[in-house]
Amino acid sequence: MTDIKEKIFKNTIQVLMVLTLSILVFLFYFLIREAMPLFDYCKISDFLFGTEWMPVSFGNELKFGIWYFILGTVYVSFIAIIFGLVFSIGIALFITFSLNERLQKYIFAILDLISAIPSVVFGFFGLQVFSPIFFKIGVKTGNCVLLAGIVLTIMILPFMINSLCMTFFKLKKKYLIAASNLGIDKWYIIASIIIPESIKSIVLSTILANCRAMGETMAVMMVVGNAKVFPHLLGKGETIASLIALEMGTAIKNSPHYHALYAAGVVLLILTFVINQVVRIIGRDSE
Amino acid sequence: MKTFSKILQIVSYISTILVVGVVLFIYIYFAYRSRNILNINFLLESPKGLVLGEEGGIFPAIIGSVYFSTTAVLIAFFPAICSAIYIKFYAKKRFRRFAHTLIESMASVPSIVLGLFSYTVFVYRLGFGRSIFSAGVALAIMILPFLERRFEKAFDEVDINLINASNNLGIHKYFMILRLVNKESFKEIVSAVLLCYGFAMGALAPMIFTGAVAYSDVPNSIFNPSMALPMHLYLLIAQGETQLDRAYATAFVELMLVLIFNIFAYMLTYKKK
Repeated sequence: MTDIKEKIFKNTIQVLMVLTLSILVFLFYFLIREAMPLFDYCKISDFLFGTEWMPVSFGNELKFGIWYFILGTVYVSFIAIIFGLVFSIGIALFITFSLNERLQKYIFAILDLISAIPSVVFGFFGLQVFSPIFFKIGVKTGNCVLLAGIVLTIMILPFMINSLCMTFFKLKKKYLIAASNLGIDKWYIIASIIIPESIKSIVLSTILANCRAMGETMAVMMVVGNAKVFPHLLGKGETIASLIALEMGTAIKNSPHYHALYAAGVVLLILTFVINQVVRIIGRDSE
Repeated sequence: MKTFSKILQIVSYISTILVVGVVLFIYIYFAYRSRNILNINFLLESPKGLVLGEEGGIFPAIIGSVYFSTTAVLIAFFPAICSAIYIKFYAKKRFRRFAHTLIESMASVPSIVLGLFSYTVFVYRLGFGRSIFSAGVALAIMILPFLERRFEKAFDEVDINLINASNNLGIHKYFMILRLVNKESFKEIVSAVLLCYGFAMGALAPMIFTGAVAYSDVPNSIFNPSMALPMHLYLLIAQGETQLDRAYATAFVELMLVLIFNIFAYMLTYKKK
């Protein structure tokens, strides 16, 4: 009797597990299926590297070039990880080496809170607090790529810090007791051994955070300005995610515009997916 | 090396203070700006006014958000916990690694892409239309990997000796998992669900064109579209200067909801160690 129960139990969870793991396949399948018809209207190379986006015809030729959006996505997330790197290394070191376990828990709770704060609220915060500052400096309307990067930095910090802390905790166990027995200053050890030893995992976790940053939609969309131009640090730009969020509501089903937005989604999906896999493969070799 | 270590020390102190400060600042600033608007009527009334949201409150949006998140958690819970159990207690090492890779990849899928997916499959092909259910599916896929990872972590913390002992006694695995493991890690499981509940409540990208609308009554079925807090907030902000106070108040309500869920989740797991 119990054998049957065991069997039922195992089979049930197996089925649900397979279902869960196959979600990714469904994702790719349905997105690509909706994206394919676009390429009856334009070539893949025109789509990826074209710089003009004219999805709705007013008597003119339709153009679906998302090159500027790709650049915008990469640019914004790149700024975010550069800032994020400085902060997350600092905070992760602080958590690992300067706090006792109780305080560590508090900080991790705060980080959980940051990752739970809705992205619209972050966007609003950026719009209200930082945007006027940029406006005073002389940026038109105050919204720019740099601002989006700054807002994004706060949002990806919890993720970066969590993964850095894992590395630092391991190294702390390995070196710190021996070092402090020898009477060497803690921060000297950190600068001379712990940072150099963890360079690789710092780089890997940064790239993973970059993936996260590229997919962030609402906060970025609210502060990046959304202009279809070449992104400059203090100028406007637009990311793939915000393009989709802005235009999906107005695209007519099965129109070229609709398929183009799906194709942009596929590009974003593939971008994050490929980066993720590459990082994982490199990371696995070092284990 | 001496200066480098000094710089590191300073950077680490400053950045921690800065980030904790930003969080505190967000809460205090939003509370301060919404002080005139926020009262019990704001929470319990429907939005009114010539320009929507100009008067009245946000009640349908709050209830709508509860619907969205509850749907998402209900959909995601069983797949997540079953995958966690399988990966932790049944899978061989190689499969475990493969499954982890897939789940991490799922976690990195941009949430707007999940919105696209749900739009083509549920809104369009399966004919659910814009509804709480369609958006709930997208939200569920978004929180699934996070739930799974937290469940697995919870199972990791169960005393390995208990598991070994039960294996040696010849107790069936399903019995061990249902009785022992789920009991031992019950608090962590609830805490993970709470965290993801809050997470789903704040996400707008997956629901922006799959279920959230500008105005609706309090939803009565999950196959209808509904208002949601982040969507309402976004629309208020889009209306510009005139609605700012209300936007602040809405944002503050959202922040408080997130805080409450996080505090509960934290309290559940805090005492254990």
